[in-house]
Amino acid sequence: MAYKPKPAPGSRRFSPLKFIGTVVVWLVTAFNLLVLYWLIAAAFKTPIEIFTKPFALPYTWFQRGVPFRNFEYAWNQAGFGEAVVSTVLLVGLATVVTVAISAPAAYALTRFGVRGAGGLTNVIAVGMGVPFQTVVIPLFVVLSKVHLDNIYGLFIVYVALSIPFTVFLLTGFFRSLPDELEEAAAIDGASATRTFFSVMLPLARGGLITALILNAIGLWNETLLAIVFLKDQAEFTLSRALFTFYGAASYQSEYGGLIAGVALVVLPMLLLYVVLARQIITGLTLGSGK
Amino acid sequence: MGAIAAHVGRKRRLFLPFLVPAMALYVAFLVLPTLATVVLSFTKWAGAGDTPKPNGVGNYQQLLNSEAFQFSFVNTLIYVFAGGVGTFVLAFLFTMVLRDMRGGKVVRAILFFPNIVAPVALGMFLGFVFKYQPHKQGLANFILTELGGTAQKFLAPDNVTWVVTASLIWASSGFFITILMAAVDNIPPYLYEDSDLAGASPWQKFTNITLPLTWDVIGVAGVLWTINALKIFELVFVLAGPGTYSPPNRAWTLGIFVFDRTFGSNGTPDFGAACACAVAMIVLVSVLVVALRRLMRRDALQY
Amino acid sequence: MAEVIFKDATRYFAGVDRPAVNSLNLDVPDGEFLVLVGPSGCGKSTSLRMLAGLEGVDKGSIHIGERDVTEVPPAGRDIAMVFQNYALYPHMSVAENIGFHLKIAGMNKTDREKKVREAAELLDLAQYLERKPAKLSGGQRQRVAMGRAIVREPAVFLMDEPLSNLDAKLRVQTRTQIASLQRRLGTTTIYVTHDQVEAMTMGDRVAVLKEGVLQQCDTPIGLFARPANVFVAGFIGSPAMNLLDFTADTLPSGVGLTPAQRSALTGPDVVVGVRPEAWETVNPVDGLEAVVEVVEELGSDQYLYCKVPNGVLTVRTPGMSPWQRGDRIGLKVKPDQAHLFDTATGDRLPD
Repeated sequence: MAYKPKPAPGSRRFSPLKFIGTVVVWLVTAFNLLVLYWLIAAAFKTPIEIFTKPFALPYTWFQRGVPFRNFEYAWNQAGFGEAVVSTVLLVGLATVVTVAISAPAAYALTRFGVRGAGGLTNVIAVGMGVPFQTVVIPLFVVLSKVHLDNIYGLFIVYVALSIPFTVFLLTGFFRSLPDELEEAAAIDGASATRTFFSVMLPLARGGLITALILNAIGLWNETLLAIVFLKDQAEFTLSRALFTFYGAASYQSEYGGLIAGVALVVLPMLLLYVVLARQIITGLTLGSGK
Repeated sequence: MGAIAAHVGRKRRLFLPFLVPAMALYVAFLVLPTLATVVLSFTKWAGAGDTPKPNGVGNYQQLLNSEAFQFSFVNTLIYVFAGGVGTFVLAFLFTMVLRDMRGGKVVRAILFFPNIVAPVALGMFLGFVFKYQPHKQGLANFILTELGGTAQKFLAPDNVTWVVTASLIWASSGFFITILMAAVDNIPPYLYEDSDLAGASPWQKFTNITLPLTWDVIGVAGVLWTINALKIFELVFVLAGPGTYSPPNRAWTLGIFVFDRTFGSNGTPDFGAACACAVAMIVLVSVLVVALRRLMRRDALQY
Repeated sequence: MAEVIFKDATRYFAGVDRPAVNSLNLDVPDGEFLVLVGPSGCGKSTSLRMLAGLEGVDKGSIHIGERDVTEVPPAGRDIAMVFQNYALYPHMSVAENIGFHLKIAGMNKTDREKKVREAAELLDLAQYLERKPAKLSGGQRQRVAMGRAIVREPAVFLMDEPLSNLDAKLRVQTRTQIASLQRRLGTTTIYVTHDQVEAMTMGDRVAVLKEGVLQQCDTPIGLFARPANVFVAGFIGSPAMNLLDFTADTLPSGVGLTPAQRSALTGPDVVVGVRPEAWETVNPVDGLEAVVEVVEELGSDQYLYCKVPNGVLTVRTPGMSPWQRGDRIGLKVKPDQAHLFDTATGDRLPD
């Protein structure tokens, strides 16, 4: 028998505050879903459909047998083909290198018992509060002098500017690990380096994965520094390419192609998010809750 | 214990090798450039091809008299304060409902989703939503006219700040709901049960339990909000302007001001002014964060 | 002051077919101290939470005094509850914690402070009123939770394992304090515990639950002397009653069935329950032959764990008795000390 238990008697009492809250929660949730639907549907529509029938399913391009016409347009006109390759390589490498540099630092800051480590951690955490705009001019001037005002320079900048957040996030993870395992490894005669690689890193795996994901999302979406450092269209990242494409496409009223371009930037992250939402959300709360 | 003591000693020798790469990048790409920006803010420097010449506080005087800077400054404060109040009120309202809602986890994931979208893409997308053009109305005006209203110029310079504020609240609330809900989930359920026995209303539960017991997390979230809202750039740049060059001054933020003075899409570059504005940003963020921390300070809570 | 009645009260949990509490019928007269006891998952806490209004009632009804409170929210039931973890607000001082319910109820500040002070003096907390719960010992926290219940002057106290977070010594001490406090206030009290010693020492009556079903509700003496079924027999008393399987025709010497008992049997098998103190030690040839395996010397008592052909029996002998491991002894049930149960149903056979 599937029996639905009755709620507790007090919980059905009417409260205006809770009523408003519930209504707003459902409205915003519905709005988010609608927005997602609209984005995906519009990517398959003609401009006329987009503006006159925003909620209908797309049909014109399907009737003409070219359902992916907008995506093809965006792909070719905005140079997304090359951009996808650059972005994946750039974001992937920068993310991995960032975590590879930050993890030992976070480990040293939390588990070595060195005096002043806490203060040093705070100094690095303060870096999270520095707006990119503050460092952009000196970095641009110096890097263009050494001819690094290109994707390689951007790579270094991405890694360096991701370090404060990543170290901060990982110190939270390392701090939460128990002492006993490290001591057990010491009694077994493992060297400190070995303890780090074979005991601590596997234990902090959840934190490392979270750091990878959050940095990947952040850098995938990053636009300001990409605009500053990338001049050659062949090196454009997706969001940078989209930025340029936006002006051209709106000028030509190519709204379908434009939305398809937006969708091409958003959908990979959306897929990543659908697969990893739990990991992202738990990681985020671990990092900021402490 | 000998093994452990020796181990700690050996470990300490690794402290520098482990820390130096991260520290070096941090100093080279954040600390030194920030200092350079401070120094450059006291020079006159047009940019490439020019050389910096000492200029005292000239850039700062110029900033204070610049209408563009005044707009940027006020708009940025609007985003930080109006957006912050809106986001946190919304987030608190949601925590009240989501605490004991079935399917709350799915709802939370859906609310979080705007946070994974690139701000540029979000701006372009919202550009469509708020588009004003007879016969090619965006989603908002489409619904407005379908309901019998008249189409509004949402993205006109006079309105765009508030439209962006609303969009910002919508897009960011998911992130702060997630953080606050994690803190709320850590509150032992029996405290809410005891308040049920006392007959507390949802508002009384909020003020007597949820708020005091998530206070520290709210403080951290407030700092994160301040940092992020202060550097808002892409969303406004795309929504308020044509997308490729700067929007009208009326809609600027400090982030746009720095960008515009660096790349001179509205005239010639002026690195000196850009640096002065960047220094203003960092001073503002420091003042706000310190003030917030002081405001939120209280004795550590123990269970 | 009020009586509490459960009428066929039933509670289901989502996705579980068996009810967590199955048609509970209980009548607790005004001023009684009733203990709900049973192993974990028996539905005792759920029953208490139904009475508190923290759980809904799926079938049946619950009454406090003259009122049917089945659909009344917790705050309207005139009850106060002490939680297992005390549910103290960590950010409030002791005084604020004790006065919290009064504040929510809208009582003015001077009345509130007076009541809080009275309760604090009663519970020996007056000097800690400004402290936060984290700075209190376990026993003091427990008393703060009690204080918060007392100031409400409710018709019924509900207590959900309030002693389980205290160490053993403090638990014994607090046990008597709570019992005497309840007797002084004369407030009807429903007390949940998994500890049968707590139940036996504190309750006017004890209700034993198992798998959501009430097994027996009686005075401690009644439960001990006449357990209604095999479960209650095994659950109440420490060390537990020895339960031995026999057929009706091969009962040990000194144990016999009356005609009424024989006719009440539904099958051929009988469970004979003998408490450790109900054995008499005799010569091996005169009783059930057993070998002493372990001797537990407690000073005042001695427990022998004795191997018999179909298991191990616990036997209580006077302290400092000369028994040794490996001794062969005979065991005989003292007259009228055997409890007889129907093996098939588990129920007690009529006396």
